[in-house]
Amino acid sequence: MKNNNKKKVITFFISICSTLIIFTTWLYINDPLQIFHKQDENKGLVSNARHQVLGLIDNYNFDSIIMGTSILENSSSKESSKILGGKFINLSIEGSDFHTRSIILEYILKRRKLNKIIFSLDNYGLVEAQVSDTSNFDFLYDNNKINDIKVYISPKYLICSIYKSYCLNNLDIDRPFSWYQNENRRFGGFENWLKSKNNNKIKAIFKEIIKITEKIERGEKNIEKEYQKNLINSQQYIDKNLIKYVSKYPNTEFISILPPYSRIKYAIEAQYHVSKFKRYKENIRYLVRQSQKYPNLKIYGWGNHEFIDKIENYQDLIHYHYKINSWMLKAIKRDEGLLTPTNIESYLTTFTQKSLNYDLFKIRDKINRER
Amino acid sequence: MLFNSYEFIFAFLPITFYIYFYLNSRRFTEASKFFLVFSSLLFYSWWNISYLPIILLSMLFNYTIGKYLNKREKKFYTISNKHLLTFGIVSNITLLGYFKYTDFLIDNLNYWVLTEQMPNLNLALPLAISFFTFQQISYLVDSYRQETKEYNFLNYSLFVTFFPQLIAGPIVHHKEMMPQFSKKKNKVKNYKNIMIGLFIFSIGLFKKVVIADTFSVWATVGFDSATTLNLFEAWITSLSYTFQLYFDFSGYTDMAIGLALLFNIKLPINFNSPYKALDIQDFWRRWHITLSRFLKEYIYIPLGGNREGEFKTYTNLIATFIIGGIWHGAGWTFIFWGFLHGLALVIHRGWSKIGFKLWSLVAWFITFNFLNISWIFFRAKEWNDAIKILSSMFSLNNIVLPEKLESKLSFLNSYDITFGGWLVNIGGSASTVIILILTSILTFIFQNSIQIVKYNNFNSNYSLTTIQAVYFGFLFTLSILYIYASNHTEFIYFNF
Repeated sequence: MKNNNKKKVITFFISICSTLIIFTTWLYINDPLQIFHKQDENKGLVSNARHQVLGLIDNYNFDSIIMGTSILENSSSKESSKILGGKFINLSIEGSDFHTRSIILEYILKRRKLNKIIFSLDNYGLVEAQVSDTSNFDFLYDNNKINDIKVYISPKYLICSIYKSYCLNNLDIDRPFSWYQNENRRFGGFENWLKSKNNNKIKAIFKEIIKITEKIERGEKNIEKEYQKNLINSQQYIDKNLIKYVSKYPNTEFISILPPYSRIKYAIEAQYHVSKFKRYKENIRYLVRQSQKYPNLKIYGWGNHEFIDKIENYQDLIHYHYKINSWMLKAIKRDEGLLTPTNIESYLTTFTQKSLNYDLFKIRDKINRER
Repeated sequence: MLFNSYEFIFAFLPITFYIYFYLNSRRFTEASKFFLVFSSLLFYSWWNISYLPIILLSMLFNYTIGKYLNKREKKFYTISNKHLLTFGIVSNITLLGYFKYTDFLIDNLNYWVLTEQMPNLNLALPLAISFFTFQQISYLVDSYRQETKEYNFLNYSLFVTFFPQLIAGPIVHHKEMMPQFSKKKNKVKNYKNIMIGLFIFSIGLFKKVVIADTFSVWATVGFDSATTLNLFEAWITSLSYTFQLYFDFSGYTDMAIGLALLFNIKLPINFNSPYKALDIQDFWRRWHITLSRFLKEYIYIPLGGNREGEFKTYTNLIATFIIGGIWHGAGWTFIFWGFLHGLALVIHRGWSKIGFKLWSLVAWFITFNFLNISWIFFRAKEWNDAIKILSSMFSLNNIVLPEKLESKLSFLNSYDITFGGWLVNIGGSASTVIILILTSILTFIFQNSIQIVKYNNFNSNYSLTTIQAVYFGFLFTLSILYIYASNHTEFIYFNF
């Protein structure tokens, strides 16, 4: 009996060693994210961009990238290549702040020579200087391949290693993380927002508009006590997560775009979140100054255009129709919206005036009528 | 040092195991005990060495008191044993109270009584103080009852510090531990115990790092970060914590039992599928069994138990559970949780007296939902957090369904049902629901770890199958990989 029990203990340890070998080999071979080797393109891609982008960088051929957020996810790589030249790939990551993207930029730029980077200057980076928790993916973008296996040790990828379609989706490499196919209902006008009044995004927007307009009516404004400190922080954040790469890689063109959010969004900022709005404008000025110092940095903004006044172009306060992604590429090509020291003040004046003059109360009344 | 850390599993444990049995094999039995105490104190000090003097002084104090209590004929100067016992218990409670309840007391004085605010002391709670204090109080009482026979400080230190049960139990009696440490047979490596010990440890490790830590993500976000929750998010948050707590604590206990078995020590079981309980009394016979035993033997019965009429029995029950609540933590939410359980036991007792029996499935459903709801108070840091979860769980005004269903179920719009990110506020997804269902099946239907390895009744001929050995090896490996993939987290009961 003693020997029998000893054998069971030995079996237990053999099981550990063999499971470890079989398990890691299994994950290595399966490799849905294409971390260790390129897979057949037909197998599909994982929709978690923070994880999947590594496989795209390591296994696909490109010399230029689109590195934005959800507002650039609908941009076509093929169209970008056709209009701006080079071979683009869209690596945009939903909700990624500058800090998140700097981790990936660091990884790519050390490995590849890039001609162009289209980079979106979203508010949560440009104004909020947000630093998200990156611990669930940043280890993928260090110099250690072995620790990359960690990403697969989660229920999602363990199930996926057996049942592939659990995590692999038929995503188009042209714009792998795009969403334009799914959410078209709310484009076309305010009445379509009203039809979706029970969608929680729309619900939240309506609630915010009502809340903000009430405050504006009462003469309240959101003024930050530590405005100056926040401004300095945000500019240091921009330096650390964007300008650093602009200066280090002078042969790479950084096409930085100010996302054309809806006018409602800017009106809320201009009329209520006054400190944030001021910081937004100051940071645009700052970037334009930097673009004089670094010729490879270009700043584009279309906040003075009329299309952002039209709700039909938006499915919520910030997400615009994919046709605008296409339009922006053409605008970049013809340098329309390029901000320079000579036009920046007039641009900001028009932008501010339009945002201040926008009638939020009219929107509020429409919402109240339908609620 | 955590059981679920590489330094423990691959360094501390094998080294301690090897040296302990090596010393015993050379017949250095006292040295082996000393080594085990030393290792246990090293294990304890790994978190913070400043706690070490507290546990050492506490042991020395209780050992001295216990020694006098044990010798009936010999009084400590002119003090009677009863007074000495009272002094010992009060001293232990004062130590625990000082570290654990001072700030709670100050907060309440500031709120209710004082006009000028008293500052908090912000004392760090010494690790395991609640457990080693209760264990030593039981030792004093047992000594007073002449149920202990220990005069050696080394043996006593081993009883208190034995690392598998030092931090979070099981809370053991002196009389059930010391004979095991002194048995000659237990000083030799026993492959049956090693086998079963490793298997139970593997199950415990899997419960903690794979199951409990998975649920902790949703529970933490739901309780601590999310400002609003919809109906499904609130239920998933509360259920996540219900499962997290069970798998965390029973995982810890399984690991403790398994580790002790490697050293040929059989610890008492602490869990027996508590969520299968059909009533609240049944639950407390299955959940944290050694704490229930302590509360019954050292609080409920001394208060009078059920010997002094129905009304007194009810007040004793509620008082015992309020003390149980306070033991878990300094806060009104813990007190309320204890009160709720006391009240439930009173209701159950009254109900049982009528003689009316519920259909088992209904009884289980009511019991489990009561537990799930009462854990909300146990977990919530503030009343408002508890109210946030509870109000969302029972509000039909905040139902959100997956956006994918919007086109198919648009008629629900008229009932004010929303479509969109239905689990977004707790960072959940469809996987969350799948994991919840699988865990429910595992918890409600399958045997528990103690039943699987027949811990309560294995004899010399008992052995596990080769398939089980392979299976437990698999669980162990998966757990080890999970530890690698995530930052290992502390056990919930380390906070108590």
